[in-house]
Amino acid sequence: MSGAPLLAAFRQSLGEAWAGGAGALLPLGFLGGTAVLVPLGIGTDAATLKAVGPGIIWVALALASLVTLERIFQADTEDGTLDLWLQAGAPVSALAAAKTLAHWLSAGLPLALFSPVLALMFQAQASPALLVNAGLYALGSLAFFFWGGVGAALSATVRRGGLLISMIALPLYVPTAVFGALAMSGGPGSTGAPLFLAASTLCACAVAPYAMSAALRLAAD
Amino acid sequence: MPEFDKNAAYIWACYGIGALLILALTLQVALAARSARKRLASLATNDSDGA
Amino acid sequence: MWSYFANPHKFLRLSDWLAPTFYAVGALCIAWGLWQGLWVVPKDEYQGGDIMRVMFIHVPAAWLAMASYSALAVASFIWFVWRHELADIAAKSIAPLGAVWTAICLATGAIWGKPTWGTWWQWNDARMMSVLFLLFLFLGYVALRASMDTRQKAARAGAILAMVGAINVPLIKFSVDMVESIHQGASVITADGPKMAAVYLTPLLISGLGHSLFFGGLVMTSMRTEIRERRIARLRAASLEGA
Repeated sequence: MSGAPLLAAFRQSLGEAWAGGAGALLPLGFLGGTAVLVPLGIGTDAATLKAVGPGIIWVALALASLVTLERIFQADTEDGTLDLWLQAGAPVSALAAAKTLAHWLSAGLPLALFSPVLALMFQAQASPALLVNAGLYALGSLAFFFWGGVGAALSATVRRGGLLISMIALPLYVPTAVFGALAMSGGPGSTGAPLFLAASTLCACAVAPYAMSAALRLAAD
Repeated sequence: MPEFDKNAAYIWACYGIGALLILALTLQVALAARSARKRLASLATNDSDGA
Repeated sequence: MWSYFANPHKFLRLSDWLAPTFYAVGALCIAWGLWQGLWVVPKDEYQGGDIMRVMFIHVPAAWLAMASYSALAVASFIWFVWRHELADIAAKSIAPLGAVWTAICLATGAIWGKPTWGTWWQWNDARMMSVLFLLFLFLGYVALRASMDTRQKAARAGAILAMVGAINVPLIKFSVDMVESIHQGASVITADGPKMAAVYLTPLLISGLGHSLFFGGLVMTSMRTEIRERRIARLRAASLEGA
């Protein structure tokens, strides 16, 4: 079994996710826009923003994943790429995982790395904790992208499937959101939470590719 | 009717919602069942008439 | 032995008498539980006075929400592996019913919470959030099935979603113990046995049984309806071909 189809799918996804040259600008723009809307919407009180900031970033990550993944498999179903994959011999689950990973690398990870800047905008204290949080955002957003991928695969044949993807993916996002927020809260539950966050992300990475593969076979029929 | 203390309104609201939802659901299930039975019966008799 | 249960004709004959029995016994148990809960049982000042009586509807609803999702996941798995059509019919029937009991759990829980904790809802409570998203899972399942072109595709898509979402159910049960929150900790199913006094526990368990039986009756009736709907569809398709 050669890795060629895998690498090809990965590269192709990176290419399309990199938005033909715009690169990470689009996801960062999305994040920036969301971040600006929040103080406009809920007021500029420093204490509120500081409390609300981490949560807003989690929401922005979740939304970014849903927006990015909406078309990830639909185009492949439509133009026959999916059928080619099924014949190519590489396991479909690995192909789906490769695509999802590529999208995460170009949309999720940059957002996570950019999060300290956003956190400062939300009146957080400048400290190494912000870098730790960036790592937590990276971990959590990986889970978002993999579960979102399941939603995208299931909705691949549905016209205007964006809302359906959200409805499917959001419940799956819950453990990540809960543990992520808990890890950053600094309260009594926060010491164990990063481990649970890591566990739920690992679970996502392990389970989601098989679910995506089953859903893609369904879409190809 | 039992007399409840200060939270009576909440208690009745809860049981009211529960009763309403369960009864409405039961009604809907029953009506759907009846409609399916009728349509199946009429299809079956139509078939035997026409065949 | 299991293929006995896969036979729709046998199911129809079984549910002919089993469904009414479930309805009758279930309604009786619920009624007895209601009578005990609202009239007989003494109020517990420690738990907030009369308001704790809401537990006789809220807790059975919570049990049913989780149990019905588990049933959905199991039925989906059975269909996925063995392709018994009856398992798919069961899954399709369970979802909307489970959604209603989940909604009852959330509504009664919020109304109970207001006088007890001063708030309708707490956003960082893992259990509340998990049950809310359990509701979304049920609704998403129904929406996903409805958006598929064919019955076969609907069954396959639903099965995938149900099995993937099954991870959510254990999270609800243990989340209260893992995450500090204002929600009451486990008091019925704990490692040392139930912590509740019998005068409350018995009506609670009987109510739980009653709701479960009634739910089972509704599932069976819905399955019978679905079996008939599929027959209608097949007859219509056949008559179109034959004509």
